[in-house]
Amino acid sequence: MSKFMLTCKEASRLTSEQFDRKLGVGQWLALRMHLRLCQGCSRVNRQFQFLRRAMSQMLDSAADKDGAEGG
Amino acid sequence: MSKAQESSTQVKSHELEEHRASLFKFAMLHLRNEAQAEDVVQETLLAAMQGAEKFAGNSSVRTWLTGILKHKILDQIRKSSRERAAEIHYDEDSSEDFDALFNERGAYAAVPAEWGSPDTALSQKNFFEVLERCMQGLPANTARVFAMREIMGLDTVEICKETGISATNCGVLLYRARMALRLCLDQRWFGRNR
Ligand SMILES: [Zn+2]
Repeated sequence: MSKFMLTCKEASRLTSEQFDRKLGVGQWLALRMHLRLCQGCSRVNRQFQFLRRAMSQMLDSAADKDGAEGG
Repeated sequence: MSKAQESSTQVKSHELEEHRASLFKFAMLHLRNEAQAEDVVQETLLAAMQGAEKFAGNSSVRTWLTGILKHKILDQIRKSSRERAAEIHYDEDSSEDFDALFNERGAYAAVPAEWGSPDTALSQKNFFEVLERCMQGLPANTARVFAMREIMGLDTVEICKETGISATNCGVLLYRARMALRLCLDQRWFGRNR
C-alpha cells in the first residue's frame, strides 16, 4: 500500500489500523489525503472513533443497569 | 475478624455479590462461553473476599473487582488459546468479507451514512444493549480480540502474546470487528428511522 491514491477499501483498512498502530509516513499521508477528498471514508473514520468511545463506556453502562443506586 | 479490621473501607461479601451480574457480562464479552465466564467471576469474587483487607478504598469496588477479573480473563484466554492453537489461524487476505460494500474500483458502492452527533446515543441505555447484541453477532475470536483491544485497552503486541494470533491477523480481526459493528449500529440504531 505504498501508492499515493488509495481506494476506499484500502483507506478503510488503514483507517482501522491507525487505531492500533502508528502508520508509516507514506500511509498516513495517503490516508489523510483520501479522507479529505472522500465523504464516505471520512464518515467511516468518525464512526470508528465513535465506536472507540462507545466501547470504553460499555462497562459503565452495564454497572448502571444492575446497580440499584446507579453510579 | 476483629473489630479493628472491620474498618469503614472494608468490603463485605454481599457488596461484592452485587457486582456479579456486571462482572459476568464483562467476562462474556471476552470469553463468549457461559461456563468459563461463571468460573472467572467466581474466582474473582473469591479472590476479592480473601483479599478484602487489601482493598484500599481509594478506587471504587467495581474498578477493583474489574482489575482482578481482567487478570482472570487473560489467564483463561491464555489457557484456551493453547488448547485451541490449531483453530486460530486466518488467511491474510480475509478482509475480502466486506467486498460487497465496494465496487470493482474499490470505492464504496453506497456512500456510508452520516451519523450526525452520535454521542447523544451514549447517554441512552438502550444503545448499549444494541451495541452488546452487535458484539454478540461477531464471530467469537473477532469479538474476543476486539474486546481485548477496546475494553481492556491492551495493545496489539499484548493481544498477539495472549492469544497466539499474528499481528497481521490481529489487524484483520480488528478491521472486521469495526466494519461489522459499524454496519450493525447503522442498521439497528443510527439508521433505524431512515
Ligand atoms: Zn473513500
